[in-house]
Amino acid sequence: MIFQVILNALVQTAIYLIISLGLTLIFGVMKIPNLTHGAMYALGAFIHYSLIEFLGLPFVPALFIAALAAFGGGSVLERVFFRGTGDSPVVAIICGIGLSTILINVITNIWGAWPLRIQTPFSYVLKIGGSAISLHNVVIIIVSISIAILLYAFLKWTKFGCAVRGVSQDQEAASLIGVNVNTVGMITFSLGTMLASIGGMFTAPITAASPGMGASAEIMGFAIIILGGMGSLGGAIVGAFLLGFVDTFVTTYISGGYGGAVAFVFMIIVILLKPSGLFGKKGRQI
Amino acid sequence: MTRILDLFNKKITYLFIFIAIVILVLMLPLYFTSAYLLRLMVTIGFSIITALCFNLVIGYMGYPSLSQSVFYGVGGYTMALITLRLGVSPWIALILSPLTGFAIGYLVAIPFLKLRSMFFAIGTLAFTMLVNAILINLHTITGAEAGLRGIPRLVKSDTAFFYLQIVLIILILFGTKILVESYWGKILVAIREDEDLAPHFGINTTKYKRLTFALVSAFTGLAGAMFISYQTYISSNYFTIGSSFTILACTVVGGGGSLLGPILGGLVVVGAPELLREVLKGMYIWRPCFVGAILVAVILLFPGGIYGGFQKLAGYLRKWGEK
Repeated sequence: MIFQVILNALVQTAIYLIISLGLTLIFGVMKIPNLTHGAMYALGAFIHYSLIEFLGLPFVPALFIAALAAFGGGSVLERVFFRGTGDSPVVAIICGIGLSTILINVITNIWGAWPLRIQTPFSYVLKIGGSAISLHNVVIIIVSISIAILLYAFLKWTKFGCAVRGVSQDQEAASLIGVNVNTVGMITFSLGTMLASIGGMFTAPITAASPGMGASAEIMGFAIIILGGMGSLGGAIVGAFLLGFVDTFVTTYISGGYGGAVAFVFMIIVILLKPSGLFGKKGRQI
Repeated sequence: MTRILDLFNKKITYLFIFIAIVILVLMLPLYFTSAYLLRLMVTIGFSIITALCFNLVIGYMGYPSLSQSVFYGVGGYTMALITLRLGVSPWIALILSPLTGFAIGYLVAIPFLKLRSMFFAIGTLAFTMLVNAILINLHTITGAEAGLRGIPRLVKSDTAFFYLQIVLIILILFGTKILVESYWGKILVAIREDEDLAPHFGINTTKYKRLTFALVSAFTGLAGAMFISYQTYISSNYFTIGSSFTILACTVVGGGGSLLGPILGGLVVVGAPELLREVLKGMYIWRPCFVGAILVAVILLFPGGIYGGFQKLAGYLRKWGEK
């Protein structure tokens, strides 16, 4: 029993990790809370669905195409709406609310409000001792770990990644030494959006795709990056583990309804003790 | 041209314009007798009241709170539970609701006002989600999403509710004006402009921040109690994060930090979608798109809101008149 719960918690953690890595990346560089994250998460799942159902593509190639589409969509969002909103959080918040209203409405009108199920090719169920895990969930765990490793490598060892870290530390200083802040912002925003859509594509076969599926994922993503420290990748990983396990254990052993609530209480306690989060920069940010 | 504008600068003229507008608004129910229009006006009225309250927190103090719907709900549940469980008159519940709003607002302010700017926004967002989860889980007390029915009305007709709202709006308007022009208001602006500098002038920023937040929660609670009494029904769906977003949108789109901004914001954010319902009869499924587009367009084109846009326009006209 306990092993099964741990397996479930790992799957939950993996999904949370994919979402929150994107959010924390965007926050770290652009300093805005991206409220379109949930809508792009749903949009990714629906584009993926259409590619599989109407064009007859297999699961994995469709995933890559849909991810690229989300990347393009993210760059359009950043260029047209979010560039320059970093100075005042309220503008970014309202802009995000308006945009996600539009996106969710578009999704509902095109694909309908009914949940759609995507068939996963990884439907084999693995038996480990007394507990079971489907191959799809194993794939999710592998994908999220490899995304985290790739992102770390990208930020640590490439020249562009170095520019991204520079911009996230000090935008003005970075632009003084010749980093194109706008390009960096656009690429990171698009990358973050792409990660959101990948999260959506992997969740849709488990929970079915519906236009509002992104809302709870987005809120959980925010809770995780606040817990871990906004803009910190390591913080996002630790936060995803904590909230993934808290959520699953409370849901299993106490009550289904309290999973999210206990996770939020946990988060609120942490930010009250350390307002910048577990791994955030020391001191308050303005 | 300049002479006319000079006349408008006189305070007494403003007062006359204000009285004229109030009389005009008071006469509205005589012309719009249809139940739909009356209901729409009352709905707009509630969003204007909440936005006016919230204006003090976001416009003058500079804290983008996303938990206003929680305090709206505190007032609402005070009204619902006291009238249904204890069976007292709704007027007593209406008097009690600002007290519970104040108490809970103060308790929430103690931890959350330690956060700033973006972190405050996200922290209060999480708090709203938490409260919503609790409301849904305690369904034996709160009725959760299915709700509680049969809450008595303060006054019988919708028209009377409309007049009640006008009274409250005028009270809050004058209250805000007095508060903003007093020492307290100056402190709030000092906090907004530079919170680290303000304590160096001997201002106890923590005390004033908490008091302002609690005061705003009290009035939001009062509005929530009125709203629930108007609906005669309470459900946790009224107090989700979406209603917080609406309150924020009304204030910011209208223009935070100005007295009349939230009124314009309430008219545009809640009223415009209903106008669009008439215009866009054939394409009603795309209505949320237009609402979202208005929100995005206003906030990106006029960061100071509609009121800020008007002021800019008036500035240009004045310059043009002086030539």
